[in-house]
Amino acid sequence: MSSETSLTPWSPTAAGIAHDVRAGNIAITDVAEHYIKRTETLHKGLNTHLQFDGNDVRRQAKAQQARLKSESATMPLAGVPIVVKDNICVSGVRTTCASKILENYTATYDATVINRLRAAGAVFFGKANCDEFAMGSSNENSAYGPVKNPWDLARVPGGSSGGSAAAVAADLAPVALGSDTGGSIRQPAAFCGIVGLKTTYGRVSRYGLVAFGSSLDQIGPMTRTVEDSALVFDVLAGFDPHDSTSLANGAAESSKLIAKMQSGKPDLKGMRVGIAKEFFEEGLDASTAKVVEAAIDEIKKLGASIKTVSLPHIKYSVATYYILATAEASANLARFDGIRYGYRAKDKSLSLKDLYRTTRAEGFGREVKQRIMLGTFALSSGYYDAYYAKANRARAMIAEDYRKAFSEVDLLVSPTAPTSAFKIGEKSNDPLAMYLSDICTIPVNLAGIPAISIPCGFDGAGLPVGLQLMAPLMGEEKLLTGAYAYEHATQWHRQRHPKIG
Amino acid sequence: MKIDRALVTRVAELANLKLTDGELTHYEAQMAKILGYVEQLSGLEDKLGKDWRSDTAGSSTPERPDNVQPSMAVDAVMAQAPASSGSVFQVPRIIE
Repeated sequence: MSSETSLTPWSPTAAGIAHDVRAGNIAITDVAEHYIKRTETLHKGLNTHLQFDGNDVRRQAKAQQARLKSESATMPLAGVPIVVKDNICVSGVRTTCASKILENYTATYDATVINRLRAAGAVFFGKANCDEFAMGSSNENSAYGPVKNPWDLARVPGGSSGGSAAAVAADLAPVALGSDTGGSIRQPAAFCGIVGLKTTYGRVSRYGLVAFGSSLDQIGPMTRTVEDSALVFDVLAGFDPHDSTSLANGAAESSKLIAKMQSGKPDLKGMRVGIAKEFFEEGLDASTAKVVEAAIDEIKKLGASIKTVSLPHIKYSVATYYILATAEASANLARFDGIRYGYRAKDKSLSLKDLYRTTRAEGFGREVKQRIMLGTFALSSGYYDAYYAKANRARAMIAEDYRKAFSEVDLLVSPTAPTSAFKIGEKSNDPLAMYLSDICTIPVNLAGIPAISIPCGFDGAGLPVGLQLMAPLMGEEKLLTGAYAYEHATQWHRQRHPKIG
Repeated sequence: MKIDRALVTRVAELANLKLTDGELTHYEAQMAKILGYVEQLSGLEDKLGKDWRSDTAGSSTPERPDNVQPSMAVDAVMAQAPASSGSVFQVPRIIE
């Protein structure tokens, strides 16, 4: 049972809220009012939200409160506020993917994750800003302005789930949903000092997630604590007949394992932890490296055995990703043509072909167009074999590197990102520099394995640093229990920026 | 790999993007830089064996029983249309 059970103006957790609500200590409507007031006060200054309607929240809270008497046992997230990244469909709510091309699109159905969370008692607190179509590592690619990092308003929160990360870091909600294609949950979690989980590919349904890279995308929780991550993961995970890539055996019960650990002093005795030397080579900021090395020492103190391993093909990850993800994106974004929904170019004299081409040129932002171009090139006749087919083979070799490593260790650790949060505008003109900020997270998506970012300290500038733990396919339970033991011993998650009210 | 204006123009056409001259210049430079980085893949020693294929390496496509399932409500879909007439999306004339 979480120790943070009272609704104070800071740091209440999803577990704490659900516990208090189900025990009758606090009404869902009161929880909602607290977070409505906080969101209305802070969201504009941070630009975390693209949609927020306090009255809709109140209506939801009332409906969940009415269910509580008879259905409490099936509501593990009773009353928990959850902000939803704006590339996830919520029926009746504007879903823009932070793009002009969907500026007026209202989702006509709920994503599977939304149905599951609602059934579990959650209250949705608006739609979070993000990089356009989840393409970016800083939330500077939104058509609706950048998000600011609550730790330093002149810095990026990371991306593409920047609004989600900033909202949780600023306590606008204890939970946010993000999506992760190349690191878009984990990297902003690291930059904002919170927990971000990317699950095994196929474990959480993608039905209702606007697709970017279909073989890479996963929805996941962004939370203040590992316990909350496990709680939300258990609700999200499981087979969905609407998603043909959904795993048949994906259901989870990780929060039971965490609960068992809470009665004693959790440790990592018997855990074999690997450090892939390739993650600690050039490009890693010295101050970040120092914090991560101290975190690894702490893992050793908790009883884990540490072993150096090699992932020899990891160095090809970013190149591989920017062929495969962009190729998939070029196909997925072909549907946005101004015909059935979304923005349509205004010139009535355009031919059909020019209507498509003008709508897309006007509706998509610069980074999205760049990635569509890259992907189209990689799939085009004459280039397909040298680029797309080659990258697919590189991907298989990267996945094999992880399989071999996990035959020797239980978990792998690395920094989540090579630096802490950079300044807004610092990398936005250099696409390669921006892409390389995902160097630690991308290989995980290529291999389909689960990974989590947890806070592990602060660098020389006082900015949060994230530690990434990786596990084999379906290894979330090992991941979460390992993360929980570290979190319990170090308590980094309790640190808050003093400026957040 | 030489990225030139002709290639970028062709790619933009395939991608259904009407780009200005300024944009074509911008994307030519950016694509050259990114694809220059991606060139490292040509040096990758392939360890998969010549029989490996990406379309047969993974799991097979799952199937479901061929039963009728509900579709989206037509009104909700048509409400999103930029131009429509009843249950039909309106587009510029295709055949003159």
